[in-house]
Amino acid sequence: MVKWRSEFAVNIRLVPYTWARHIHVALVSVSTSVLCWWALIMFVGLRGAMWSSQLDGPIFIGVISFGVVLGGVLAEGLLDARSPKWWAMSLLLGALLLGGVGAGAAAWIAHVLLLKLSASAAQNFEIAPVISSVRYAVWGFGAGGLFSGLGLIVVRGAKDKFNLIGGGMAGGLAASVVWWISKETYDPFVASGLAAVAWGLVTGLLAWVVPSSLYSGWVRVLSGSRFGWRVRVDGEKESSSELVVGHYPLGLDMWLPANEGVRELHLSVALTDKGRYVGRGMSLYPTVVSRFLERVDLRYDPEKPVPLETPLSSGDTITLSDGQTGTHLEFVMLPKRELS
Amino acid sequence: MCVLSLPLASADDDLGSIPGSMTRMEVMERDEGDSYYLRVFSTENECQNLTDQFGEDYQDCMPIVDPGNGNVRLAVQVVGGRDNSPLPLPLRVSDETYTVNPHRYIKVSHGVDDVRDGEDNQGVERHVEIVPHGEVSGNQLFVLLIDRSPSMNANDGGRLTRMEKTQRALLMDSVVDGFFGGRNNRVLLLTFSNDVRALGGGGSYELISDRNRYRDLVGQLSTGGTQTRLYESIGTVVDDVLNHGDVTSFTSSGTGVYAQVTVVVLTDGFNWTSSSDTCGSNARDLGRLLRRLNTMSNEPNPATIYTVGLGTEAINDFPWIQRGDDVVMYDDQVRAYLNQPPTPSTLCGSLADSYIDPPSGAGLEDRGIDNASLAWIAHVGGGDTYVRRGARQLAEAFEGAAAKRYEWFELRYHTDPTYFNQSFETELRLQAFADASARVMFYPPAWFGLPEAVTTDEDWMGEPTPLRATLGFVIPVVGLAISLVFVGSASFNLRRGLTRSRPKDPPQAG
Repeated sequence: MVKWRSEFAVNIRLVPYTWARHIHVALVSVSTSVLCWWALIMFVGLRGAMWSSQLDGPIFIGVISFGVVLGGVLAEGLLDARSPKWWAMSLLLGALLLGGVGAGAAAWIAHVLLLKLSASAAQNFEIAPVISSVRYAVWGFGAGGLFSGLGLIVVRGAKDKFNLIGGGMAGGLAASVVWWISKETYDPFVASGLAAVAWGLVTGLLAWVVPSSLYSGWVRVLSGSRFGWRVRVDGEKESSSELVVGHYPLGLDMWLPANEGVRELHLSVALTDKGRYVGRGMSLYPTVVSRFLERVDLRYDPEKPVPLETPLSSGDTITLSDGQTGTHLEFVMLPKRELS
Repeated sequence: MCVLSLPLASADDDLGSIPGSMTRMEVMERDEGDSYYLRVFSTENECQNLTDQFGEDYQDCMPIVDPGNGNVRLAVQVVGGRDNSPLPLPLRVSDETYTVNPHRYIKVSHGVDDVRDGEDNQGVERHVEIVPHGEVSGNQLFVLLIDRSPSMNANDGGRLTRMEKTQRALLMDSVVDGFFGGRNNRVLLLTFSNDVRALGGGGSYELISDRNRYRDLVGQLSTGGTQTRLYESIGTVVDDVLNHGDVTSFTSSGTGVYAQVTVVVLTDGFNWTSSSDTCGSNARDLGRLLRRLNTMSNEPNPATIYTVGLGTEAINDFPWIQRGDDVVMYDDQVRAYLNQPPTPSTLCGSLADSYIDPPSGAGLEDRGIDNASLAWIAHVGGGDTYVRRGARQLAEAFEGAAAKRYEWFELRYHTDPTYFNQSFETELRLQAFADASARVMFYPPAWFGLPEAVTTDEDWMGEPTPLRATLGFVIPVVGLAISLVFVGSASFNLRRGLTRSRPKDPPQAG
């Protein structure tokens, strides 16, 4: 019989520190790019194309690129509870100006330059844009992708600029390939929709994952008299910190009873300057970190000057023992917003 | 900046976007000098104005281009004449199939490819279809010009004389309904031989509006005269009768609304004025009449001329063209043939020197009717020609001449969808009634577009896919993405719920 406890759960609207963290932005970007593309289709269906046919491509690329950057804004802003100023800046400058107008203009310029510089391109495009655009449209998609990457820099900051620009361009190029291939089989409606999916998916996957800074490490007691008690490792500020587990009566972050196999200073869980969590054995008694297909004994070796330590991942269990009895702990990463 | 401004300057702002489609269309300027042209409707306003006149749905008029299925639909109207007004067409709807034979009226070219019913060289099915719209509810005047030459007394071995067969056909209910059916129509009864004479009216032209009066006058048809001045009589009708005050008071009313005029000519032989006339000698007079009819077709409210031959064809091999297997191509050749002025050889072929009615011996009139002249006159007159023997068959010919007129029609065609991968020009050319054409350029979408229409074997044109159908793509994609977002949290929660639900080492009691 499973007895449900709320403390086990991550809010469904938040992203757990699992594989989901790596695809979350891609899923949001796919959704927003497809919805923006659909809005364009609906507009054309209801009002007709109110622009020159030469602007079809730049508008198409600009709208999808806007959708991709919009997905980045939503993913980042909602998970990280950003300020209104950040929202305004990201939406206007990142999504609308760079991701939308900028990408469309870049695609337009790429298209125009191509037609100016290549007589055969101009002639082919004039006669059979449906066919010849396959060869030439990749420039427009690539230029649009560059600007969707620039839009994401406004959203995420310049720290990951190469990832973001690379992800944006890769998304644009992937969209052009998918669009090209699917046009052989499907009509322009489906082909353009699949291009929107490809752009959002590739950019979302390559540009960034939900960052670790949005999560906190916790140590939770899984057994004994203090079952269910949990202590957060890191502080409110983004700096290194350390949590010490033992039965020493004064000054410990996590006190556990000695009769449950815990020594005075048994274990330390630290957040390093690089944002990684590690477990350090501080006792001569068994201190075992268990994870899938791996067990690490961190008991202190008196012959070595420093304690043994191992990186901790969400879900690792730690067994503290005095040889007679023991206590089971768990290290878990939870979204910071879960706490608020 | 200069480089960028060039394409903007040449941006195709003049292209019309087809509502509900990414395809653009451009109706090309018509050739100077064409008295008639085909007007192709391209905007919602144009279609609204057109269909409002007839209480029809404007959606039937809106152009449709479905590149994925290779289908095009256009609303077409024949416009021209001195006052640039619409020319209603008497489109015949088949009694068997309830459809209009499109090749009879229009030729469609998609790029350089003529679109005809059937498969092309690559085995791709092609279709052309005409759906008439805008039935003309205005007045019509039917001018019946009946041959009263002595040969109409012949009974051809039957019980009834030719004139009696004609009377019987004209009195059939279906024919009377065709002439008077539900409209403010008039019928003018004329006979011809040495000259043209009107029945009723006491010296003037009586435009019959009453069915009983019509029946009375048809009953008075009788033979007389010695000649069969067919060409001259038709010319008299066109030049004199139709311009007579008795007639114009009806055909061009004070409100400016014209009555459409249909002339139905019935004869049982050849144009003949003397015993020295040969088939070939008629070519010059026929040519003169045809030039007059061509001039008439450029005048406002031109008459449509139908010809009916009573008997059998005397010139069996007319037109003198080798008939191949391709019926549509043969029809095209015949039209081209009839667009040329007649010569003795093109009119009569090997019979050019044959006497029509020599003083002694058998002449061409003994073989039958001058079907060649009748076909030529009907072609230039914008009507149709019939050769019939019995009264019932004659009645069908009259019914055909009394066909409803339509002010516009839907032209639908289907061809190879691969032709839609590039911009293309569609050329329409009217094959009857008038010399009129139109050219339309289409630019299918290259980057993105709306869903294709759903077609079936029965409905090859299909219905445009409604916009809500686009949700069929959006909802699965977005739904899957949202589901996967939830699956991440849900699987995490489920795993922890199952594996971390109880203390591993519960504390000892006491």
